[in-house]
Amino acid sequence: MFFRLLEDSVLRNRRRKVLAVVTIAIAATLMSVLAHISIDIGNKMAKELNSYETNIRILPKSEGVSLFLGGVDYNPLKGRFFLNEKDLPRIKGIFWGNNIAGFSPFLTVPVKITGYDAIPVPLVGTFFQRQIGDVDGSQSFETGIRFIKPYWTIQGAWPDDLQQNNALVGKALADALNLGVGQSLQVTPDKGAPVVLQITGILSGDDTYDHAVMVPIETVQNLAGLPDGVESIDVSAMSVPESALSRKARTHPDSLDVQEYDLWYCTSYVSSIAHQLEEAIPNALVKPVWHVAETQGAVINKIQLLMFVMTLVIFIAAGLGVATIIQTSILERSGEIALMKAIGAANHHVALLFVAEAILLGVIGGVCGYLLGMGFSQIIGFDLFTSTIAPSPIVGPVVGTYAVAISLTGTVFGLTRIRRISPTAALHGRI
Amino acid sequence: MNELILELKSIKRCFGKITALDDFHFNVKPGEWVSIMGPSGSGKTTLLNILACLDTPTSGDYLLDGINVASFNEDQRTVIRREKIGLVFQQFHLIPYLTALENILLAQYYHSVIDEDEAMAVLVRVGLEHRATHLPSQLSGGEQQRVCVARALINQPAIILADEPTGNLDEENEAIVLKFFKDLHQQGKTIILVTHNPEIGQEGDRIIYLHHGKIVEKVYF
Ligand SMILES: Nc1ncnc2c1ncn2[C@@H]1O[C@H](COP(=O)(O)OP(=O)(O)OP(=O)(O)O)[C@@H](O)[C@H]1O
Ligand SMILES: [Mg+2]
Repeated sequence: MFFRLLEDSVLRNRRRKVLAVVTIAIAATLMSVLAHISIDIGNKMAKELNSYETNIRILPKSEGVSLFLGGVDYNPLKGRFFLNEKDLPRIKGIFWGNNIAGFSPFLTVPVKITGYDAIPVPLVGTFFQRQIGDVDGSQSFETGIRFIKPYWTIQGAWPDDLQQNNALVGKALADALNLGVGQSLQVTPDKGAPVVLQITGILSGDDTYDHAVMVPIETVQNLAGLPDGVESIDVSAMSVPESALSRKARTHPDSLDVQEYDLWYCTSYVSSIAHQLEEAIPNALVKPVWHVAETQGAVINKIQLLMFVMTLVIFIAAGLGVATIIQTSILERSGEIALMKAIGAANHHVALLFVAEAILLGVIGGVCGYLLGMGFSQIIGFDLFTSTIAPSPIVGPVVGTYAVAISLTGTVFGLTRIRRISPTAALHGRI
Repeated sequence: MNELILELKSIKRCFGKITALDDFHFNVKPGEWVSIMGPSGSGKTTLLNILACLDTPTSGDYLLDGINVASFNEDQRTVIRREKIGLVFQQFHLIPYLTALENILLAQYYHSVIDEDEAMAVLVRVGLEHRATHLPSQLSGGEQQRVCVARALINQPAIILADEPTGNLDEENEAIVLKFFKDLHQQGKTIILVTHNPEIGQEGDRIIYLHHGKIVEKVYF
């Protein structure tokens, strides 16, 4: 009998039912998208941020104590050890060479800008964008700071690596000295002749270089008298998130047995890539830049909190929608409900009918929403991460439960109306 | 002790400023057939609503089978109504999307468990076994009212309350429905029947006349 009533109840007033399902489905779609992305985002974000951020730094072995202040290295260049620019192709030659998204060498000298002699300014030499042959010269590889800092914004144009007088000026410095694209700039090192540079672009988006002047590395090497001299290399590598094994390798490298070592070596952990770089480059000290990974964690936490809040807001909005729909439908059927009560229906008999219907609508809405959400997450995933999002088996039940919960919560609020319907209407003929 | 099946003691029912029933005293013995008559608005339906435990009096006591139900809450009233009372309405009031048989089964479902054979047997009693699978819209007024009577009987209540059960029927159907009430009376059911038709009123053991929520006349036969 109950199912007979339910059947009719569900089939009746289809437009309103469709409305309720659509409301629930929209909420479930959003939930499905959020859940898919939220679950997927950990790996995707790590990957994405890794490929954005430099996460490995190569230094010369004795560069234990360097005195960096505001991007200016106050250690005199003389008497220090340097990496050799000729070793750069070896970076791509390591086991995980294909995971190296890009790298860029650095050599910095403090200079004074003519007209503003008071403050020394770092003159940073680097690769902007250039072709590098690999170790045996058979293949070439394009790299430079453009590839490891894709978030930089340049007003004007990138310097040309072949034009040694091209320069990029940090935004803060440019603002302070009123420098603009196309202007020229005379810089003088501690010992040596002044050089005139041509500003091709203003750099914003990176605090480290906000007060610096950046030029092709050869310019600095010439000023410092250090042909092929490189004081550090930033490498951006695609790596997998840390695991217990990689942490063990990091803290007690000697405690790994052969199998563990092989597994670690053949997995693209930041630490194993760093280890391989150290093996490949003479006199190199390779340091993973761990704080980048921590930042990623914090970002992911914030995104997940945001998603939780959104989920809650959607829940309330959709729940209210469903409550209104249910209330209208109860109001419309109040005559029938009065009659049911008159012939012996208790409130719970009537309520059960609506609750069952709510579950049904919730499930339908949930399934629609899950599928739609999966579709949308693919689109979004493709847009944000240029890759598909793996459908996660947990999302189905989560979205389903969410949809039914919305429907039930909405219904429960609507149900208070049932109590208010008086069965006396039946005898009075007011139904 | 249980000489009275229904006992109203100084019942008052007000709707805002309107007093629909005023200091109302009314007793019914088991197996009695009482007809209630009176002009429109005199409080007949209000009285029936209270007797059926659909409504609660503003003040006063109502003993149903010796139990004071005046202060019962909605759920308690629902339970006692299911057990003891069958209702027949002037406008028939069948659920439009359920068949004749299903309408009867519904009352059974709310009462306990459904039993199709039993429901079919009541339909046979009102002579409608061949219309079991028809919807109310496919039945004549007389047939609908017979389904309504069958529904009132399905849970074997001791008391049948009917509000102008023949009000919407032609003479032929009126006679058929009236015959059921006579049969039920014969079987010892207590019947309280509101009517505007004096001939039907006279079928009862007595008539009480209402006016402005008070009994103004009693006629015994
Ligand atoms: N829910 C209500 N709210 C306000 N007034 C009501 C309500 N129900 C009944 N009344 C009033 O109570 C009085 C008695 O109404 P009732 O329906 O009992 O009359 P009745 O004798 O059944 O009339 P009829 O013969 O027309 O059916 C009327 O004045 C009516 O307007
Ligand atoms: Mg009336």
